[in-house]
Amino acid sequence: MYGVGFGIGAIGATTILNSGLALSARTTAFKNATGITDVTILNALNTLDLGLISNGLDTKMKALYPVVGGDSAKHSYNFMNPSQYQLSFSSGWTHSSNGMSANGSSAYADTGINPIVALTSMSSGLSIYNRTTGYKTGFDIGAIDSSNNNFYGHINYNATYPTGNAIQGDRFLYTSSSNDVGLITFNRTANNVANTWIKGTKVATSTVTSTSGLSNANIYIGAINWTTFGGASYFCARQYSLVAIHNGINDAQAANLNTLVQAFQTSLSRQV
Amino acid sequence: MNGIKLTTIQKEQLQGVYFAENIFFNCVQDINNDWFVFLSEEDKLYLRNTEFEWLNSEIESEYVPPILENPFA
Repeated sequence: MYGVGFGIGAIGATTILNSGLALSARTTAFKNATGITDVTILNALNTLDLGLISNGLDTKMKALYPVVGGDSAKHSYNFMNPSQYQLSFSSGWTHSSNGMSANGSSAYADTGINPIVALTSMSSGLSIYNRTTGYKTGFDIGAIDSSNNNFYGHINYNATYPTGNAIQGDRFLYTSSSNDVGLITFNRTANNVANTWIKGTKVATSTVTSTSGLSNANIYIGAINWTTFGGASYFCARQYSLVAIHNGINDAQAANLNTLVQAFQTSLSRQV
Repeated sequence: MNGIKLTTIQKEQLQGVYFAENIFFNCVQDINNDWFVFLSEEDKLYLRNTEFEWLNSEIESEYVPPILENPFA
């Protein structure tokens, strides 16, 4: 059940700001790594962290990029561990307080996360907060290795191939997809269970048994890392304001994650 | 979309090179197989007073993307 109620004395609190806000250890570490001092942002991060902890979602996250601070340096940091999986951006990204915008021609970000190394087979997922409406050709996040092991998701590619989930298996579509914004989660929890959620609501499920392995190629954002085509390709022109790479989650966890992320975005006045 | 058209030698000099702590050049080919690089305003700020500053003075030209095969075919 989603709940937030921590104040002074929050779990692992190590920093108390002049405002009286007590930051969690994770928020403190992120603050120290990024140099962010904006109290609104820190409060939002702290609330997000406390919610992840209270809902048992923090242990699910391999990486979470909150995309706050407005520039490439601050956007590059992984909230779960700032010294791990820092994003490497190609040229061509535009960064702002609303998030990071790929140009659809050449821009991508390398997470440094190789699924076969970092993730659990048949229990993993990708969540991405999209702020761009309409069809955009390109892949939003993921990888396909030389053995055609898929690990990707795409949002509203076109009318024929709208939002699709290919987490360690063949791609399946959300066939009623049209204008998918907000938090979109592409997820697999078993060789015959894969789900797509949009804003916490399950919109597509696959029960096709997959025998694919985890992709052996770094996950990219803003394009797909398709090793057969030499790496970054099918660039996508969208604005993203949170990206998470995580273990497999269930319906309740997906709904809770959406609630937390939506509250996070709302507190930063960039919700969609 | 407009970008900076490069010679092959320029592309070889830039591709994959970091010009900020966490930003590297990524060049792509257009429909004629000419190389292009795209720079955001933040990228251009980082290029000032570096060996790559010349890019900020380049005139941009229209980029026509290559025709990609349907990835879902």
